[in-house]
Amino acid sequence: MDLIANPSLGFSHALEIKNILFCFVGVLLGTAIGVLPGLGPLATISMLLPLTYALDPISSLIMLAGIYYGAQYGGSTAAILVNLPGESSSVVTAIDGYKMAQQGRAGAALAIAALASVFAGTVSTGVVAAFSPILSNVASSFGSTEYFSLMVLGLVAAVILAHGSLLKAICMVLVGLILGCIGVDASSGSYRFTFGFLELSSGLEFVALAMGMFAFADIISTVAEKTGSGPAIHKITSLWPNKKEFDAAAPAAVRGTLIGSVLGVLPGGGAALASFAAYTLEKRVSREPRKFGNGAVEGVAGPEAANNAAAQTSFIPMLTLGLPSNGVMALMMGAMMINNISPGPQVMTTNPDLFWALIASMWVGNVLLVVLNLPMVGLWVKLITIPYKVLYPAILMFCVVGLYSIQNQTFEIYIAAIFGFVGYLLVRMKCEPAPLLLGFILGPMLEENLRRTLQLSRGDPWIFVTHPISAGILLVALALLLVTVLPQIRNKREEVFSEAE
Amino acid sequence: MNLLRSPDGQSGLFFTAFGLIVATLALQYPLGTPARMGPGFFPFWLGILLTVTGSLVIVQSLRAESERIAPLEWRSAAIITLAIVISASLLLTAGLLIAIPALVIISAFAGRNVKILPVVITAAVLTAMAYAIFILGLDLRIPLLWGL
Repeated sequence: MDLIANPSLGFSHALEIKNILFCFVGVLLGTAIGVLPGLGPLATISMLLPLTYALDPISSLIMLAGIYYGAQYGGSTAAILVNLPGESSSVVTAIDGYKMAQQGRAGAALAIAALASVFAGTVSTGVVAAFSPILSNVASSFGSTEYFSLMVLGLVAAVILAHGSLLKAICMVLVGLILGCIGVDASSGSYRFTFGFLELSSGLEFVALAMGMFAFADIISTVAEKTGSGPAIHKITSLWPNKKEFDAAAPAAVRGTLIGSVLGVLPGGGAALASFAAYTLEKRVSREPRKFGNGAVEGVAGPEAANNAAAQTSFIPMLTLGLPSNGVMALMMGAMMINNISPGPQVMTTNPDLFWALIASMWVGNVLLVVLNLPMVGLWVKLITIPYKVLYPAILMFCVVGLYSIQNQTFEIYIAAIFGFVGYLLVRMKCEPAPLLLGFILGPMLEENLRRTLQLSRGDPWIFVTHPISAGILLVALALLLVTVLPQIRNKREEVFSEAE
Repeated sequence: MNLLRSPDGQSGLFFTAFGLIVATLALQYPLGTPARMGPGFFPFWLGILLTVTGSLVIVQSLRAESERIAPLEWRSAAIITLAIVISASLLLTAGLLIAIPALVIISAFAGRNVKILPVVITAAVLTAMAYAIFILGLDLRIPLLWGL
């Protein structure tokens, strides 16, 4: 009943001509930026956020999601053909994929990557559809106490997923929470930290913050070094893998899908971690581990399936609990809030059409990607030759006009310029911007739930520990923190991140 | 001073200072009590927490042998920020057809080996794109040229 009714509701929206078109635009853009080494999904999605003010929420979320998983595809194309991973999730694909290309099997590597991705995409769409309702049902009985703890868990996850020092990531979350306080205080109506700017009364513009921290800061820190020298591109001969390659790739794709689906759901997981874990697993289970690094088909199929599966299952915590598990999910939550949809377990009941349409569109998008990617590989490869010199002024142009269009005023442009500069300084101090953004998004909700809970308990903070569900969530958060601080695991984590770099 | 040369030391100082400033500024709003939180309550305690974690970052940076921070790309930072600010101030006064070329041409100088002709061509193409997408396509209300 619901198991059939809900997805068919989703498909009825996802298969509207308009939404197929936006899905197509999303995966097209995503593939393009995935191929381009200078531009990632974070910067692109921030660049397109102003558009979501103009579009309806379903179309805009479908498009933004398409950019995210489209980028995983594009990243692998660049990794295989020119040994230039466009995305961090395709770094491991480059190891064996590029070796295959050097041995004249570029076409086969591309086809295997695409087929493994679409297989993983299909399976993980099913995973999202099956598990989201369960989680969201559990969470819908939550009160403000449980919500507060849940958000703390989300912030802890944000801290753990950041590269480098935990303490600095905690600081970034706190800065984000503080920035979230700017504007009129919901309960007392008094202006906080507006410094006399009326434009700040409704809070700091999320798009301006995201563009500054992701697009502008990134340009500042990389513009000097990115003087493009043309990479060597391998010719694509036969596009189809032979039987031996196919037989080796199929089980690897299944294992990759499994490991990716699980790691994507975990807070702090994500596509990059999943592809690395899948590569390690393939190397372990292989009868000839020496093949790896010399063009092993499994080394392409496993990680490619894993990063695509993880990209999709990472939507589960965002859609059902309102907890973003990575920077892209934080931006997706921002896009929902721009459309006056507050993320959380209620999304499934208040906006079932949006929820199921987004999930159905992921499957549609995966099919579009295969249709799009294999025949057009030559065109994508040409994209790599676009010099950064042309690319970054274009990014600036889209950002500046986009920022203006939010409120038809230039105030947001100045705000983004400030955060671009500050964001660059933070990146230089090895502080990741993603936790700050998560803090900024969760800040107002965190304060509101804290206020309500403490009002009910008459100021007694022990309520968070005496409510069993809340205590359980906080315990998980604490365990996650402790586990990351423990030395053996910390070393492993650093190893994973440095190899995923 | 080692503190000022490492990424950890610098960020620790930054976070501590920022936390102190926020906590101080939050005191101008009523704090209230935990049961009845005032508008200053949440930001004040966030500021205090940030001060504490920021100082821990400083302590950590003193104990560990830390790397030197990358040199400041002051040229890129200044030029890109300036390009954005100038084009923002030109957008409503001189119009889109002036602001976008200004943005592209100024920002071009942040790169290495700047050649004039390619920059001018990029500026022309991007201005045409901006016109086609934002004015013709999305029908945004932006003055084109001195209020035209």
